[in-house]
Amino acid sequence: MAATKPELLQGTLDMMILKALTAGPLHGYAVLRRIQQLSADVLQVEEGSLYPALHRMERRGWIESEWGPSKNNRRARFYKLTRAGRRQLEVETSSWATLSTAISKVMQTT
Amino acid sequence: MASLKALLNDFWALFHRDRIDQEVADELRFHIELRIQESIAAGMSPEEARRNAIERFGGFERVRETCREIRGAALLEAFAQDARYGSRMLLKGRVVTLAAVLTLGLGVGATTAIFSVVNTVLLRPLPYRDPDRLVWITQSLPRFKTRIVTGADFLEWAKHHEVFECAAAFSSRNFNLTGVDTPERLSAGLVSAEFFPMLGVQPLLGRAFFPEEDRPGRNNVVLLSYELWRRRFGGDKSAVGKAVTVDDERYTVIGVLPQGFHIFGEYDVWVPLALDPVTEFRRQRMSIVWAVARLKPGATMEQARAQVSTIAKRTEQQYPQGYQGVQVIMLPLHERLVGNLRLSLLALFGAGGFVLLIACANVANLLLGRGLARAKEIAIRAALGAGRLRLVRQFLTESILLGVLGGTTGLLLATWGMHSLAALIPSSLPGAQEVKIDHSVLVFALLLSLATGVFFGLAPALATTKVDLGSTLKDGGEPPVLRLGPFHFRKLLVIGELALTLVLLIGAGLMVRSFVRLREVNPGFRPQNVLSMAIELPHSRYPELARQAAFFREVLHRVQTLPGVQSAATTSQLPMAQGMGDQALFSIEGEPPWRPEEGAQRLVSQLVVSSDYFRTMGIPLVKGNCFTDRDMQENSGKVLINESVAQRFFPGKDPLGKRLKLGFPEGPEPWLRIVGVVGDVRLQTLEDEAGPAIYLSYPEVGDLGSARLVVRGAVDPRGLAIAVATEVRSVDKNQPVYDMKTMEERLEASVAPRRFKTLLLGIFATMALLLAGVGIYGVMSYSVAQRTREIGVRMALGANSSDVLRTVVGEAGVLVVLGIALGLAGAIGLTHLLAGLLYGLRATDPTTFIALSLLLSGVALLASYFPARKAAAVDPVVALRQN
Repeated sequence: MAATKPELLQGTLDMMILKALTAGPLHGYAVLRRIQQLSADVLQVEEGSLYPALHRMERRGWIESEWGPSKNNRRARFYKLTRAGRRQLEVETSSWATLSTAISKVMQTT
Repeated sequence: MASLKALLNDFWALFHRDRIDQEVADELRFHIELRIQESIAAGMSPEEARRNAIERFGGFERVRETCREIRGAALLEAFAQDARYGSRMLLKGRVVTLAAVLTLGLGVGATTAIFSVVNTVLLRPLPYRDPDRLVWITQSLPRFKTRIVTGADFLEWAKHHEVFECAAAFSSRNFNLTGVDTPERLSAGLVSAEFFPMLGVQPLLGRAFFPEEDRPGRNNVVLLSYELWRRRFGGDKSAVGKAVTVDDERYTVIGVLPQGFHIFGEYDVWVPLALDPVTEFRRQRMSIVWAVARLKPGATMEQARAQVSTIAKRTEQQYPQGYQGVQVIMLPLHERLVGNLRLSLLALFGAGGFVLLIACANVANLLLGRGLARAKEIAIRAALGAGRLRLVRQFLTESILLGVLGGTTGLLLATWGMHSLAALIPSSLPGAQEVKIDHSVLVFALLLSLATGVFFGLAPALATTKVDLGSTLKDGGEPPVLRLGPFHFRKLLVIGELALTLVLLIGAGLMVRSFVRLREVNPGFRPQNVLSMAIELPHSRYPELARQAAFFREVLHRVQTLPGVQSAATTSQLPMAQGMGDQALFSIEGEPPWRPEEGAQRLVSQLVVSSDYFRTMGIPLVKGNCFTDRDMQENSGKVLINESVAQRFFPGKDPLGKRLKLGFPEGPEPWLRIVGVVGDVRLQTLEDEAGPAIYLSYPEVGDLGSARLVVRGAVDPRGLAIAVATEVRSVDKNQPVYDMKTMEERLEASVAPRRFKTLLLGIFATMALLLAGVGIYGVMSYSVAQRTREIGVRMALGANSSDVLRTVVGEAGVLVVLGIALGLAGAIGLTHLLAGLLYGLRATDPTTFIALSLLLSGVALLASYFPARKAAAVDPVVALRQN
């Protein structure tokens, strides 16, 4: 299983949620789909950890939530990036860039 | 920001738990349903789609729980949970809870009540403008063993504007309000014009004094106290501008002071002091004043003291006889007004704190006992994954809950006791008459409750959560947690408690013994059945001595013939009454005059009394004769001395027939022949030794204007009061009689503050003793209950009941001995702080130390005797079968 669908690195879930929300407010399921979509179905977010992560991030003030109608007109909780969230995304993006470059370098060494 | 938001969220969440729960569930359900729909759309059967969705989600309930925890009030939620659980536990152990709450209530109540007084007296600033800059200045004249500021001193100081913004002088005297239906005695504060502006006190009506009114001859203006204004003028605003007759002089009312304004005592009226700089500086007239000043911003008290000292040194050079060794004393006004109350208050506050500590120790003990009984519950919770921190938090929440309950009880008790505590505060302290619960008292009580909660809760929490899971959970196994840690801890608590109690007992014991000693003091007169009162003849109506003497002769004549009166007399100074009385230097014929080196040695109290004074007051005539009625009419040339004078100035000689005179041998006063020696009388208070005193039948200096009338009745003389006052009025209808009290009442009043402090300390000590008794009873009962089986074994092996009794009591005895040793050490270290409050014994009085150690041992051993007897009654068969 791990061969085809790599597990998410610890701490990257938050970053990807933030990224997924840059385009606009989404409900939880849509966040899931968007991450899947953006990663071309490579990354599979574990559904059980998505919601605790969303709620934790809201508590930290990175995202806000609001109840609203979904596409099929049902009540859903929509999450939206806050200004603090955007800043956080920038921080995480740049540190991710540094980290991934570093990891690639390590892995390319033979 | 985010954390504040989180806390607010917590608060919101705390009260919307159901809604949060619902929302989380809705959100998660929405997710699952979307997934199902998608799967069905992709061709799965509804059944399959549902199963698949739930599987992929993985642990719906767990996720829901986690989310709820995050969304909910993470911190507050846990606290609320602990609190709910805690209250359940407290309700379950109702007896223990009640005992703990009451115990804490007593401790917190005692401490809070005293704190409210401390707050009023010591902490609250004086109700004046910028009170920190107000200072009290006086100077001590070692020659005369006294502190005196003369008008000239004050006027000199007041000039120094480089350190003082302004300075004001204060003095007091009494006036007769005349020209009204019932003449009345008024107490007056005499102040310089700067006084009210300096304090920042604005009259309620009218105005304060103008500077030009503070001059002799211009000073017939008066400010009324609020209370007098209400009483005599019915609170009528038109009183301002009216004329009143005081001592037969007309004064214009210029204003009314705010309600409750008093300083240095309570005064009915205020008039300008009107010092005359000319006569003061020539020292022809020496007014005695109190000096208060406001420091200039930026000037320190040290600078001001240096400045005033320089002036005093100059005066010393000018008048070496009087001012030799003069020392300037400068205190913050607040400190002067609080005076020696600080020591008693701090002692009482300390005592209250001790009671609280003892109460805490007892409650800690109770909780420890209960904690041990709950060991299994704790073990179960630990096994289910509660961390130690979580358990400690649970215990602490419980004890803080107890603390707050106890604190509330204490606050109620304090409110109840607070009014009687107002008696601690002297009237000289302004704005302090009402002791009330303001927010500082509330905050104090709250913090105290929380602190006690943590204090008595932490140790049991730590001790009882250290549970050995295995052995505790083993069904039917050993009684839980037999580890000795907590039990040793309980013993330590008891030892500490006994020690604190002993310190408190000894402190209270010293105070009680001081009080008893004081009451045993012979005042030098027989106070029973003597009524006393004051009469002050105004100079305007009684300008000469002859008229004053005639007035009193007539009054005495009339009063003596009243039924029920045995004798009556006048005196210029009454024992146990306020006022210093007259003191004078004197010379003995044929002996060298007073030399400066003698200082106050040759200063005697000088009293002018009528012939029956000694008989009326019950003062013994030791030798010679008393005055006769004839001696009062003219200058008889006779004098009586008291035993102190006889011993000090005529050691081994017969003073009768010797002659002395007031002042220096070459002075103008006539020589007086000593005709008798009378017993010493304590004049000021019971605590002050009687000093040398001489009695004259006729005033050599001054006059009879201010006299006290004493009447000895056959029975309780209070019934004579009205008759005596009527006789006085029938001699002069404008003459008020005031300050009417029996001599017994005066004696009582002079010891009343001490009695009250002693009583309070005694109450605290009794509370401590009871608590300590309960404490040791609790620990020994626990110990016995734990060891029933061991006791059973020992009895089965041949020990008899008295052996067991001895063992248990002996075990308690060890605690008692340790506690008492510690307590004695503490008492030796602490009681010297009380030295200033003691009378007639030292702070390390061995009798008190020994007696109270014995008392405490007795109570403690009695308290352990009951559990011991229970242990001795153990039936070995039953005990061994247990479990």
